[in-house]
Amino acid sequence: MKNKRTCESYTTLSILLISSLFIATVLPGRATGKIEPVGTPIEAVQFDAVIELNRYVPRSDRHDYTIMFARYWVASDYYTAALVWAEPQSSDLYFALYPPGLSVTGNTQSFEVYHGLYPKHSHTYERPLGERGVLRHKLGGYPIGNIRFADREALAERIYAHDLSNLKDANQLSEGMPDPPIQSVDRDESRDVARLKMLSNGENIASMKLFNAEQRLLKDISYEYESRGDRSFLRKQTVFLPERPMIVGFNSEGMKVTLDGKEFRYKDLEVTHHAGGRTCTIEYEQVSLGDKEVTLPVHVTVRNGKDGNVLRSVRMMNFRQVDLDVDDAKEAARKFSAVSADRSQYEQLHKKYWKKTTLEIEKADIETIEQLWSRFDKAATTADNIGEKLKCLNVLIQLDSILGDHNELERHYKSYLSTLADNKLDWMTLVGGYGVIEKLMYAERHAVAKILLNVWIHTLLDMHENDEILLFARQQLAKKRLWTTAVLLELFSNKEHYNIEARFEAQVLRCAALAELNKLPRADDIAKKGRIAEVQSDWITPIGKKNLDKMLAESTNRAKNFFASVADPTESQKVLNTQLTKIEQEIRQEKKQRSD
Amino acid sequence: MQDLNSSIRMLFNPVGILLITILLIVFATVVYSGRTSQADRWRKIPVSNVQKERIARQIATGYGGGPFKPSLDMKEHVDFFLTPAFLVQEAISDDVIITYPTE
Repeated sequence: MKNKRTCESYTTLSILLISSLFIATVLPGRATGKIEPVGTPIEAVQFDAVIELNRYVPRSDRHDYTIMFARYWVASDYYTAALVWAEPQSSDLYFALYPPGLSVTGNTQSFEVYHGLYPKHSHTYERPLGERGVLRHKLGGYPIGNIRFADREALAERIYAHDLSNLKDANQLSEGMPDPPIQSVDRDESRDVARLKMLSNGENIASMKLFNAEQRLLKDISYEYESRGDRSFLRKQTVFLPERPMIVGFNSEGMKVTLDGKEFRYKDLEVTHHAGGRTCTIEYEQVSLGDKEVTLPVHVTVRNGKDGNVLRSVRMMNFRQVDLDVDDAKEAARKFSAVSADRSQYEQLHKKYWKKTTLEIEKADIETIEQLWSRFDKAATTADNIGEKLKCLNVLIQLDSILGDHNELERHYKSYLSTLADNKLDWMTLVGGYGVIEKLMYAERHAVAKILLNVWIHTLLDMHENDEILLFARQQLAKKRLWTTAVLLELFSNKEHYNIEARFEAQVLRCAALAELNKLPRADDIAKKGRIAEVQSDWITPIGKKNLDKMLAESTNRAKNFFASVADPTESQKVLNTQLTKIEQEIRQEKKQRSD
Repeated sequence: MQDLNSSIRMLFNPVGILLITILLIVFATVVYSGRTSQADRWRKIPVSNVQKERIARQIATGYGGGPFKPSLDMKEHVDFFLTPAFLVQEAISDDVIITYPTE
């Protein structure tokens, strides 16, 4: 009997043991009580990124759009990033310095900025990196070395798993529960986060608010997960970054304000950073790296929290596991963003011949240019990175124009536009496509620029919706790119498949462009107005004043006819019509002045 | 007609001219003093030095803060270059809770 009971006890014990083992092996996530979302440990990862940057100017149609092509190498204790190319290759490129050639590396010891083309920007900063202090730069100036403070701030706002070590599982994160304490981190210089407020979805963290010591909200994060079987994976983070105060300061003695006879002087001012707040969305996907499935960020979009305008975004792709330490990664980054021997040779030849005709090229150089051309042409087809390909195509366009090979020039230009479109960079076909033409105008290659203008416009009209073309036209006019915009708008309004309203707006904008071109000073005085005005003058000089007047008259008539066909004009169309009337009055006045 | 002529004669005798001048002076004084007293009233609203300082600071920030705006925009663009690195670093570390680096 006793033996039977002992046997039963052993059986029960065995069942219990087997059950425990089953739970421990089959449901590891739940058994360990790990608080999600946390990462999956991987040695090091390499990936490519396409970064899009937008800048809007308040109360203006002016808009700056820049794309940077980068490669990153990241491990848990270091990261390095290198920029291989940027678009547009024109004066519209809006960044703190010329991006290609720049690389940055951060590890536990130091932060390094390196620029292969401009060594004066290269610098290594030992940790601790220190505080940002007062921002004393104006009008878009921002020294690249200041990027180190973004590193310090990111680490200071990081939340570590051991911050939540007091929590056994996510169920403890419910309303009314005390906030998890923030523990000190030895490896960090300091921590900006003083308090966390978290909520759970029963299994993982659903939302998290981070506060600093003054109880100011630093960020408000909500997480979305996707369930697969018994596991859930992070799919999206939506983060709100509120407005925050920032101290800016004058380098001089400051700003004087006299009020009621009393004088006040301010050297430093408190302004609002992240005006309107920032809403950031980060999308995640499962990526296979070696034998692991890793949840990685693939797309980030940052919008202005008030008007919803996209301020910047990044697409991350081509992830692969690598076995590199920080020095190897730094070397790889420098090599990736370095100026190759071919590129250096091209720069020298471009400098020598950019304004010369084909007949003026020395015989020996013709051979060198042709050899370079072949190598870049091959590299453009084999490039494994969009930035690399665009870099080659930009060089080829310049070499084609130096060699006077119009067929190849057209082929490479079309390839440049299609490369942008194929990679979902449609807006750059407008901005960058124009940039190539303007660069040729600067080089006084007017005939070639005219050929590409025709190719560009026909490509745009096939590729873009009418509202995109009109928006771009307004942005170009705000930058005083008058003639090319006038040509674009004429061909746009000739397209009968666009609606009357759009064609009316196009003609009014064209009238405005032509009227401004009419006001340009004579060729002798144009230099004082700047390079863009000079280019406008170069475009219209062969056309002549009389023909320009005729074009303007025709354009105003067409606009009036379009307006007459608009069944029920909206307020904005009425405003456009008023602008048209004003332009007509100006034309009449000018004619009268001329006849007097 | 005779009455009108006698009235005009009365106005343009020395006494009449004196009366008109006095009336004009009184009128001008009233109008002028009314205007200045209104301006004085504005001036006399008590504004403490603290308020003045606050108003002056607002004026300084409004006018002086403008040129810094493009640099703040640039700061955000430049700092964003590190964002992909930090996001991926979090995703391949099991000791970090995934959040978002402030750019």
